[in-house]
Amino acid sequence: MDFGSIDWGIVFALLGAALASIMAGVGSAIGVGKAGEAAAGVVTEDPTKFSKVLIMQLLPGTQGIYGLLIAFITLSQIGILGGSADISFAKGLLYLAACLPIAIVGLLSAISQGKAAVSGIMMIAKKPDQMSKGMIFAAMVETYAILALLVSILAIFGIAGLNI
Amino acid sequence: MKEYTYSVARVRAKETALLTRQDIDQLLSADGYTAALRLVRDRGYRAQDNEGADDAIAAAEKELWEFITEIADKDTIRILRLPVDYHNVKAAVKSVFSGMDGHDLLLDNGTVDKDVIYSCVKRREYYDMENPTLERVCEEAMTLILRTQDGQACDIYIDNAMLSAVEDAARESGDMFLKRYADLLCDTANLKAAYRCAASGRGEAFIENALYPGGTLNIKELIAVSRDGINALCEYVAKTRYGAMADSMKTGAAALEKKCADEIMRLMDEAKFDSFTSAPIIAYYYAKRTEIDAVRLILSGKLNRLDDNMIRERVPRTYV
Repeated sequence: MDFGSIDWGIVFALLGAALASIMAGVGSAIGVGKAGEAAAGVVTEDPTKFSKVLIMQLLPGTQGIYGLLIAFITLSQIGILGGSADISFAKGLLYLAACLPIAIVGLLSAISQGKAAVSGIMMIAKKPDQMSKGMIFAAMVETYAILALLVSILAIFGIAGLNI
Repeated sequence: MKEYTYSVARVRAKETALLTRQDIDQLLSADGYTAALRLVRDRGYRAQDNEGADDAIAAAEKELWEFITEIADKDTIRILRLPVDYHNVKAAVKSVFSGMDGHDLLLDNGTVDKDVIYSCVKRREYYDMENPTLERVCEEAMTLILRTQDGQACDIYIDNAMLSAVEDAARESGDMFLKRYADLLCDTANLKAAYRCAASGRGEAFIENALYPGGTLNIKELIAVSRDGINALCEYVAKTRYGAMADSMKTGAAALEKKCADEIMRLMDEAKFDSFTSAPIIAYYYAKRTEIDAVRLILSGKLNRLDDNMIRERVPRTYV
């Protein structure tokens, strides 16, 4: 295989999109999984708390959606979903870099948010009237995923306008 | 590290049904046995056929073991079952030695079936237990009691063997909380034994035999001060991490017993802030076990018309 003939720009850009969806998705899967274990434990003992713990379980799932959003925007910007897929090597690397914030922060924040959600679910098990506080504690972690999402979006749209 | 998220969530949901300090106070101030029994029944201690207190307490114990067996892994369950095994060995050896039928004294929920232990001790053939450590302990305890005719020496031997088994099981599990729990069991057992030896003026050889050579306390120093009497022991204990127990030692054996139970409960309190390890499972077992013992103590005290304050002094701290 002649690697010299490969257009590395599109390869790196696609790698960025893949990393955004994979890493943020894996993080969300771990977070939602942990919270699901705790939710199942509470519902085993008290089925009436199903709706309350379900909301808590869903909280770590947002990072996976952010990863998907970034992957989707990147794919459309680099022409994979239609149009010209002619991306320079430098632009390809820039797209990869732009995808990294949501990929890395998405992975780690979803796992951390999963742990916070687990503790919140256990709080609901003992004090169901304190559910809103449990949600706030877990939602605080979301801030950092949103910041990373913003950086990734701004960077991807910014790269499109660069003439390199 | 192994995580127990599902089990801990079930424990947290169950903790809401534990008796609080207010519930215990309400029980203590109940007007007589019948009123106390009614309160206990209202809080979930109820046998299927709605019979007396013994049946209700037995039902609560059965439910506790069923719950723990469902949620805990084998290492955690083993630590909790081992004391039952050694209690059964003690009851079987003493029953067989005294020629009485003490089968009813043996408890369910050990790692070895209670009928197997009783039958092995009775036949003096121990291999059916399929547990080399327990087989050796049974054989040696039986030999000891037959040779010395000394029930206390037999108790000390079996209690120390139990602490050794719990310590080994905790170490093998690699779980830090189980290790701390085992150390605390050893330390509190040694403090209670040292107190009894000091109070009864025992000699060094007896004390050395009575104390378990494990846990976190310096056993050589503990033996030396126990030989010199209660005051020397209290002075020494005041300088250790169990300093708070020195005052209760001066008050008496019942106060020390309560303080030791409270000390273990303090370790369990740490599990309240843990959502992932086995600590909340152990803590729930210990909390429910303490609650059942407290209910039994209060009902028994009420039935025998003991003074409320006398009962109150002996009721350990609750978990919630």
